[in-house]
Amino acid sequence: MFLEIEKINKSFGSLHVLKDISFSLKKGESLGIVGESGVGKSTLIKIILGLLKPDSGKILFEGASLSYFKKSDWKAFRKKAQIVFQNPFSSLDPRMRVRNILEEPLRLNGENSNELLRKKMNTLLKEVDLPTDFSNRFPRQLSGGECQRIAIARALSAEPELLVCDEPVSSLDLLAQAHILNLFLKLQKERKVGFIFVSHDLKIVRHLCDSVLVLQGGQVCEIGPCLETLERPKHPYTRLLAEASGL
Amino acid sequence: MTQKTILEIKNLNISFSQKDRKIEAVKNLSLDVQENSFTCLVGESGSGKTVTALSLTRLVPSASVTGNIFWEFGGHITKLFSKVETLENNLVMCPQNTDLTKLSEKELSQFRGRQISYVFQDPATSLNPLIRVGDQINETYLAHFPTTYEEAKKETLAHLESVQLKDVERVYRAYPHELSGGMKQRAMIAMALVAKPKLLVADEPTTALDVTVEREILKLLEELRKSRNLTILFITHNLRLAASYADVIYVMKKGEVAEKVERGARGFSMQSDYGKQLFRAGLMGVGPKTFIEV
Repeated sequence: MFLEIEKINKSFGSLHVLKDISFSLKKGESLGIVGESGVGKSTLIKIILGLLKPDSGKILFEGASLSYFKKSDWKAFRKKAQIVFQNPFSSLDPRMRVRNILEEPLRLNGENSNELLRKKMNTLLKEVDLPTDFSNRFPRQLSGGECQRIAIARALSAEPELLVCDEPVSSLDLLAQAHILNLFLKLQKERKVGFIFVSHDLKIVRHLCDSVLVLQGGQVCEIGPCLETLERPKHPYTRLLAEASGL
Repeated sequence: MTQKTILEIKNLNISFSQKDRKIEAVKNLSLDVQENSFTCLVGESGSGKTVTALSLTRLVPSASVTGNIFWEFGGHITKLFSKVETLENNLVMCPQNTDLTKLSEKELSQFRGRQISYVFQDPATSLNPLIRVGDQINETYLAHFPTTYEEAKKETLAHLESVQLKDVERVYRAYPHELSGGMKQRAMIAMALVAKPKLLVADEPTTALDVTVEREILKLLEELRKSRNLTILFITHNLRLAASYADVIYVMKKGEVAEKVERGARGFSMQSDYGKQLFRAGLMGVGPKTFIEV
């Protein structure tokens, strides 16, 4: 198994945010996590990425538990699991040019030769369908959709096996959304990247994911194959969400 | 069903001039809104939807507007600046076919809220954070109907109830930060309706809200349309949302109307390439895990 989550619990003070969350993900598979605002979606992905420690429970990445990771293990893990955030404007440094935004992670991953750096950066830009002369621009000179593509290119620079996306298209316009969704599909099909996709739009989850996990009140209320679960929801809450998304 | 046109926009051009160049936001736009309809204006960001809606009552002072906006409905407007004691004397008939672009600023402010009213995108920024919700709605009511405070409060509470808020006394006394996003948007709708307008312009009213709350707000608008004989001009970039509620959809592209579609027996069928493209982008008629043609 690529990623296994077992009985995760997390509280902030007296607020019990996540209760006994368990699921697993195969390599190259994509999972959608849905639920209302404030249900703990973002807390869950922070825990999956090791950015927050759970109060109890286990996270196994390729069979090894995150809680026993050494420094070198973390370094390898961070390369394999990358994140794309909701708001592309606030996740890119406004004072850095696109070139620097993309070169920095490449350098950190051990790439030193300037010529190779440039080459890799151009391939990244091409991969996210942006012209290579965008490398001289600042984030403020780009539209929301273009910024989000840069954020995705930055995540791809580490050649990840798992891409965690926290509402990556909810701040974008419909057409820009469609372009990003196409890009994600391409990554799934060509690079076999696995996805954890947090969203409140079930239509998008159905479009992209193999399986879906529905959170309600900090608990898993339904989990299963995407099409089946969303077309024949067993839990009333899933039905409510499916109706609200116009499925 | 024979319907009456209440608003007709003819050859509307809106432009902004900067130092040395002129930006045309809306070009030669014509559209009409039928009484009691749910009309949608759909387009990408920057296509000119919002500026069109705001320009109906000249809410963008820096824009230069040419063309005509005919208010066909007529109806009552308020004499805002005259000293009148009774409600009856306070009402004046607005002649039919009034061209809103020809009205003076003073006449227009009698018109705003009374015939055309607005609900905006972010309820958190459209309410004044320092004034209790009830008082903000009272203020709107008192601006149009010079009555007593008690009368206004009664009316405000009735309107808060009509937007299906529970515990209206508490909402009346609450400050905006004490309400959730959905409740704030309901309060905004109550405020927009308190002067009994004919046309409600809703500019992306649910973009800042969760999907389940979004559905509730749309259901509410749909009910209000029936119970109050209200006309709704709904602005959104979400074609999927528009397709499930609208009677007529105007698709805007780069300041122009690319297409007008009416609801047929099988929903909406777009003719223009751009309309079809938007439909696909809204994941309508697109199978899972297939690329979207855009």
